[in-house]
Amino acid sequence: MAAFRRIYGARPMHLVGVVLALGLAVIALPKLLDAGPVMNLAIWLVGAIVLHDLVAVPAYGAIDRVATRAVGVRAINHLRVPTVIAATLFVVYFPLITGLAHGFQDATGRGTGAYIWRWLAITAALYAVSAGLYALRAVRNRRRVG
Amino acid sequence: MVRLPVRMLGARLRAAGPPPGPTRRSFWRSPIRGPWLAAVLGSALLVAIPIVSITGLLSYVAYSPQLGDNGRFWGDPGLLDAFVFTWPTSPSWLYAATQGLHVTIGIATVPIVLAKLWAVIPKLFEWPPLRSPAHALERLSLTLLVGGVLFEFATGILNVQIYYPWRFSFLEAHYYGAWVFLGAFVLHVAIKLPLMRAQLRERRIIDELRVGLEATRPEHELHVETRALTTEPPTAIATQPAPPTVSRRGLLAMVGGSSLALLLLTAGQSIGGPLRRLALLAPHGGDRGLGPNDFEINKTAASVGIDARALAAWRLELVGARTLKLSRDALLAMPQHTYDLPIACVEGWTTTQSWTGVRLRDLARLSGRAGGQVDVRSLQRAGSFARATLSREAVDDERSLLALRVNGADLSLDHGFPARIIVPALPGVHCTKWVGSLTFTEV
Repeated sequence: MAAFRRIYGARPMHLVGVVLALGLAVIALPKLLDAGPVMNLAIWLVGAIVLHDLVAVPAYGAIDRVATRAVGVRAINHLRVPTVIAATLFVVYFPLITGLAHGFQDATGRGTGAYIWRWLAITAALYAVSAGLYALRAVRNRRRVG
Repeated sequence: MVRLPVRMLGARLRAAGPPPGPTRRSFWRSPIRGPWLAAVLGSALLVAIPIVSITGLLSYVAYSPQLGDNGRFWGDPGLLDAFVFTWPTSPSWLYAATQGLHVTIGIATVPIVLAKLWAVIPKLFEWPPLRSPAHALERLSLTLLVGGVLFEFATGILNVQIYYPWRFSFLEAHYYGAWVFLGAFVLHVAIKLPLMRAQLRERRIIDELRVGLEATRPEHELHVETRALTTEPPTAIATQPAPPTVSRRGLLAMVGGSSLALLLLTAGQSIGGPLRRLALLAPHGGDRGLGPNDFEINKTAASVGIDARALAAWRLELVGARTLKLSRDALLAMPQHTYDLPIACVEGWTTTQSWTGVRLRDLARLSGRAGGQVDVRSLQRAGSFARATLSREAVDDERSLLALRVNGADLSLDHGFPARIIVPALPGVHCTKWVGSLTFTEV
């Protein structure tokens, strides 16, 4: 057992689990790659990881650092919270918000024109509430100091 | 001692030290990242992902791929459809519930998935990249896990908005992608569950929720137990943490708030009632008007090549022991039945309406072949679901109708005039519109 651990790097059960999981992938992956042009599927599968791990995460991390330096620690979360919520809504619903889902109107008989205004209104409301809370906090702090 | 190539490579890379950049521990500065945060977010995903996965697999069952050529979208699933059973017709809201959960919980889980990936991102760059065969295999399965979760969420979310910026079959790719993901997910849970539980036992969530920004400390200062067990802190913990700019409870509130926003702005399209108005960003939220035919449409007549003029001479072709052609008036002269039944779309939205028409089992009897299943064909010229096979149980349910009217009015063209299928708990795409023929098959 100790020899197995030394060579493999984990308990035997670890190997059993890995073999089962990768075995399932060996069955399912060819069927997945059968769903269309292999290159197109590969671009989506690999592209998803690259786009998220190597583009999106460094990008929003950098934006966050720049914004924190610009507005300071006291105010940053009043900017972060509405931005994060609005951005998440956009990430999920961007095809409707931007109108990129041009097949949508054809298929469902519903236009996509309203979505951008709704998203903008929600975003504006989030920033307004956040700014209001910041102002309230600032007034309260000033009173406490004064 | 046996020396394996992976191990030798690992030793060499360790000796050489990480190159400058994200492989250096000092690159990662966030003071709140670490295994505890990953454990909290992981515990939320441990609830959400099984819900989304199981309801997703149930949706495959609901399509009844074992009947007729309903399975044509999935090639040869081999062992991967061994779990398929006959989808029931009761309760009538069954598919509305399972698919509503699949889409709504899936969408609301997006912020948690993204936060979880953020919490563990330094592990992607850990050095040495491969320490042992176990480590190499586990990282391979993590590639499937991360690739799988991003692929499944992206394709599913774009599909509900009828946006297809790819050239593969959504149904096939989303289904088999789920299996690739699920194997890696179950393995990941099995490996990490003890660590997750240890983390949450050591520092309870409720305690951390009392900690404001001033008292927020990096995890390596918090975890006495973990620190005692390992010579170096876990990869995700910063060795040179920056001063905190947000507390852990602040981050969790931000993630939870994003989830809640998505939930509130989406759920109404499945739940209906006053919440439908709140589903402002959902593809099928809001009201469509007060008329009998003013409810959601998945495929308009125009989009699938239905021409109203061609329907003037419409006759339903009824095939069984004998073949009949029935006009709409002839169908209306048969016993009519009315039921309130949901149309539950695979895209997650639901609308319950009052449908009137002829029972499928009456039509089966009329064809001289009762007790079997039925092949339904639509007159539509485009679209993937111009034909569907319904189970014996579906035909036999007294609420299963060839609907001619809805809410007391004739069906509108977009809702399937002259006649459409309505079966309780059947996915919307199988509730075929513009029915051209019904072929009842042998028992």
